Amino acid sequence: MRTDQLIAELATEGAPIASPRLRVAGAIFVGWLIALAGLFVFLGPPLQEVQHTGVASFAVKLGYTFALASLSVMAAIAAGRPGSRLAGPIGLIALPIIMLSFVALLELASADAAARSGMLFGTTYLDCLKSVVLASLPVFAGLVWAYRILAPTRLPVAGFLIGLSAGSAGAVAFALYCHEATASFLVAAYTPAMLIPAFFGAIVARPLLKW
Amino acid sequence: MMGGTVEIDETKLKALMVASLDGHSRAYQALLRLCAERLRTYYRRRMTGREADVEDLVQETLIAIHRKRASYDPTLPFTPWLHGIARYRLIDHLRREYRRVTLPLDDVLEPVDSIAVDAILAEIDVSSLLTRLSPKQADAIRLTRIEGHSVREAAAMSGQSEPSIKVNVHRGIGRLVAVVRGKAR
Repeated sequence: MRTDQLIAELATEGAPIASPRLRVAGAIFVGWLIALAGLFVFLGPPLQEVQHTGVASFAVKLGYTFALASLSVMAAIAAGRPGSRLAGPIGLIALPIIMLSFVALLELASADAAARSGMLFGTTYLDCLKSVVLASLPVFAGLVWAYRILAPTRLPVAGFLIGLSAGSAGAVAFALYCHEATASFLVAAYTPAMLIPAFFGAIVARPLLKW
Repeated sequence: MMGGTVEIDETKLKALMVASLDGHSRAYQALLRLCAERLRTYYRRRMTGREADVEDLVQETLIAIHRKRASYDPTLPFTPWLHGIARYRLIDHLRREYRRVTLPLDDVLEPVDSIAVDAILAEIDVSSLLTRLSPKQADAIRLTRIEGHSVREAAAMSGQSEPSIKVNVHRGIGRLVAVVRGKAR
């Protein structure tokens, strides 16, 4: 086929298309609802622990995870747009982590030495890791689907950001169940839990995202 | 617009792209033409003397532009987007080519056993496929694999030496497998 012919054919198909932001947001929301339904099946209704820990601790957990989710989704979308700069969006992701680490350090410094490990690792460390990773799976799948209209040129970076988005969305869902109340636990458990899907995403990026 | 080189700058390309995304098909066609020109220059500079490859790449990239047009963010300049896509297609092309070229002869010999080759040959229109090979490779394969002559007979009939019959059969079959796999994909 000659190039002119190809151009003529492509031009007849050129209907306007949906915005990637909407598609990504929709996919995340559907994936997140599935994750929430899964958590409901295994752990029962959410927000049971509010009466024990108070609203403030839930607000912090949700705020932290939601901030990370929004920032990493924005970076993930940028990674799917050739020619856009990534340093800024990726740098922003570090901001909530640094801020909360600072709070956690203050918290640990003012605490009794014997209590520190309990504050860091809580009583549900592994449950947190497992639940967040499992809850991230439907979001991850949705994101990979939504991403097909985008054009990542650095696949491992895009995969990492997709995984981080999925991990932090999974963490938002799990935060509704978690009864741990320290900033130290948020840093020590939630952050690695979100990074597991991220590294997984970077590893499977080539076969999953190439175009 | 009176002939000669019309300077098509970023602003115009971007305006055409924005109109295209709004469903303006004439703008889209004009945009793709301009992109094709730019891509041809881009790939020619990087793949000197391989005109067929250049045109393949131009077409592949036009299709990629079409499929991935939603990935363009209208708040950003158009040219870096186009170059990002062109570069990704180029790397992908070179990677596939590298894999094909550096496949050592032994690797071609091992997995392509005669049964698989016979099955492949049976399934496809052999004569049209053989035109994808060099005449020497096509002769070597036709004489030994299809007409069933021995290597020595084939060498005598084709005027090639025995070793070159062997090499041409294996290279040709490697190439056919690549062609067939490419079609299956």
